[in-house]
Amino acid sequence: MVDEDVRLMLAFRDGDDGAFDALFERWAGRVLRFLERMVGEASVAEDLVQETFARVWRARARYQPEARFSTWLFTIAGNAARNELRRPFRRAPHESMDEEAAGAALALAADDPPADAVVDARREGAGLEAGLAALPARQREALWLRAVEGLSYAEVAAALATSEKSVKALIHRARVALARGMKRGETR
Amino acid sequence: MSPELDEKLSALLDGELAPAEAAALRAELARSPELAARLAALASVDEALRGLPSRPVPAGLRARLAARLAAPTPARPRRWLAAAALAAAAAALALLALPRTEREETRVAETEPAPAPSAPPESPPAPVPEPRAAEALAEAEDLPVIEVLDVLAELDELEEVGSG
Repeated sequence: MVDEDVRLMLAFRDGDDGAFDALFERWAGRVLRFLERMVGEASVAEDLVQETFARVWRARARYQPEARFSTWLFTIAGNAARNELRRPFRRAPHESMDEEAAGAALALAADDPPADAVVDARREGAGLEAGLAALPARQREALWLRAVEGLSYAEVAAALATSEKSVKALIHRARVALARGMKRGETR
Repeated sequence: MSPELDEKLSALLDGELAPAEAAALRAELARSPELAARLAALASVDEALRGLPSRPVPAGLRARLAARLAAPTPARPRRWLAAAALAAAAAALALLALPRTEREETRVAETEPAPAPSAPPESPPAPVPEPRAAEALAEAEDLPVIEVLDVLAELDELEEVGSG
């Protein structure tokens, strides 16, 4: 069975640039969502989305449809994120948002009180985002690829260049840490 | 709850247990409300992650990518440039470090003949900047190597991924 993405990638490899546009349309949003969680800063994540698709572009001649396209794509995106996180003199995530701007954003939010359910969901989401950001990078990546992108342990292991056994442990530790955080959020 | 059992709950959620193992764990879950609650807590994490908001891809991103692809030089040399800049910084530091050592030697030589007791307190702080300069040098010298290795590893990874 050849999935649609593999078909598009093969078409692109064989010279159909329109297929590349279609792949970008289909995947840029998911890759951006992943990279934002990996590096914590929107502008850096956008840059890495470009980097990821530029690598897809450059690697097209060597593409072999032996893995799912998504596994291949997230392997490239994950490598880009890891390189970014290892960069010396890297700005810490969220450093760019100064306190004044954060205060202004909060004041704005307070001016327009949303419904309780929305507030709860927002608070819960913010707590979860913070918990996710606090995880070790590999745990965060492994859990995201499994839980949100639906990669199997074998696929996550390929993306992280590690064993399935360690992927199993990474994912579990990440889940336990986030579950603990969510429980604390509920009882507060 | 043993850590092994706990980890199995995750594997069950992920559909990564062998059928017999999964059946045994399900039987245990039916008997233990505590275990079932634990599984539910772990499952709720995934559900919450999938429910996190995502923003649309910025309109200009595809155009910026097109510009990048059309540019004659790919992004990679940027890293080599950074490595070269660091190497240059290391060389500059080395140049700065040398005259300082010489300067200190001459200062010590000048103060030595003076019998005044004020000279010794001045000399202990003097060696401090030197280890610092040495550290900075070591750091600056190490960095380009790491960068180069990273780039090589990255290339290898890409080759592997591309071919299989």
